[in-house]
Amino acid sequence: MATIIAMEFKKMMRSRGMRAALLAGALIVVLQTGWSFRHIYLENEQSYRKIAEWTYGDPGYGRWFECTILEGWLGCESFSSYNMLYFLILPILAVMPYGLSFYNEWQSTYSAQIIVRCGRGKYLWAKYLATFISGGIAAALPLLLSLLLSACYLPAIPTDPVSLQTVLMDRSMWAFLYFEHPVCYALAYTGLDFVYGGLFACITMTAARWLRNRFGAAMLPVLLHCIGYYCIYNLLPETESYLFSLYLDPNQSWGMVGEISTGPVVLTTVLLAAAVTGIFIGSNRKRDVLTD
Amino acid sequence: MNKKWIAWICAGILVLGLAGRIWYVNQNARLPEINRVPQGESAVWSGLKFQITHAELWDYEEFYKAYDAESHMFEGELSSEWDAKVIVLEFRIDRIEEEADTLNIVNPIVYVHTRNDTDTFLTAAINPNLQEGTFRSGETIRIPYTIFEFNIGRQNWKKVENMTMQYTVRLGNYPVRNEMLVTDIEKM
Repeated sequence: MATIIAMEFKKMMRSRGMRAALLAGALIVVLQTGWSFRHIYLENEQSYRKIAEWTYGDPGYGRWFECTILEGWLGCESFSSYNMLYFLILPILAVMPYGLSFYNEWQSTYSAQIIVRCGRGKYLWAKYLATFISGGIAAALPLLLSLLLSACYLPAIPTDPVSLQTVLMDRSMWAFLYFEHPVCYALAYTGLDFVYGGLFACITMTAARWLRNRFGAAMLPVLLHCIGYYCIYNLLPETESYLFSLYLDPNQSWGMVGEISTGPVVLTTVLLAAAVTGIFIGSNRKRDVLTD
Repeated sequence: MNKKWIAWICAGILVLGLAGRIWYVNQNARLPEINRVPQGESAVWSGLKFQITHAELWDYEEFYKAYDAESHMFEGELSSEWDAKVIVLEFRIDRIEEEADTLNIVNPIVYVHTRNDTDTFLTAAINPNLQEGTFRSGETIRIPYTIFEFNIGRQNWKKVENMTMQYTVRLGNYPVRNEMLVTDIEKM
């Protein structure tokens, strides 16, 4: 089992899709960091230099705030459009590295060769694990890179609600971490996005069996994401806690979405993971390697 | 020395450089000096001396009935799903510096991780001396802050209802942050 897993991981890390996904993610991070450095950090520094000149009558008198690490982090910086762009294309980035690998291998009958050598169960689980991790890496690594770059010019101090530089409300999910331990919030949310990146890749891998069209299978997660965000939420707003489209973004829609909380998020994630895993393993357990 | 070693050394230098930079940024964060003022004591800000002389917590509807404050811009928006209350703080304000010619009463109240600004319309409605322009140094002003359950969630709302919520009025933030603690609140 270890050999086949190691082989799948090696293939996954060396795939062109992984390089392309990480490059695209890194590009967004670099552009966003440049933007926030110029428009958030330098603007705030400019205000800081004026503090001494302000007198009682000035509207900014005594009201200067130090920027915090989350204001420059791709996950929570919402003044530019990079956050929205990143979380819109996140399902595509997640699918790029290895989402279609299983489909390609099955079509080329490479799968048949591996199944004969190591057994179907081992191959399926190794493929599932590698695909899940590939999607997670593609989704989470840009967020970690952004956090690292943000930490290079913004301090990891608690977020002050008075500063009006916050994106969450007190009743938002993990608000305590957001306000008191911003780095922990960023890491916890990166973990959540890692899981969803993995699930997106696995959704594509599972659906490719029936869709037959590679492009259609690759686009399925982003389609589900958009359906959840733009369609289901508007038609049935009470389902908000169970729509991954709404809680993937650490901004949590600026805290305006009412009831996102840990319980429903965990429940949805576990059910989705169980469904995807079950369908993938179940549908491929007795699948004919040559004719199907 | 082979290429692998050079790559490891470069990576090590990069990691040390990043760690050093992050340490420097955090060591040099410009945090304000915090001045906590217990209720009843005074704090000086923008040339004025502020003292909280009384605090009371009202049910939303009761407050509007008592003050007949119909000019409030948010009135009527309260949904049946979420509750609201109004905390009214009475401030005595003294001018202590001649050049302080602005009555700066737009000071936020903070509880849990939420802020509320002064509602200027409502403040004017319940303070005739502000509306008529007769306010003088040494007089008191009653400043109401509307607290919405919607903002803080049901768990924290229980603290508001059983009077255990911690409130702080902020006067400025930098270089000195005055935090006026509101601890003695009368339930109306």
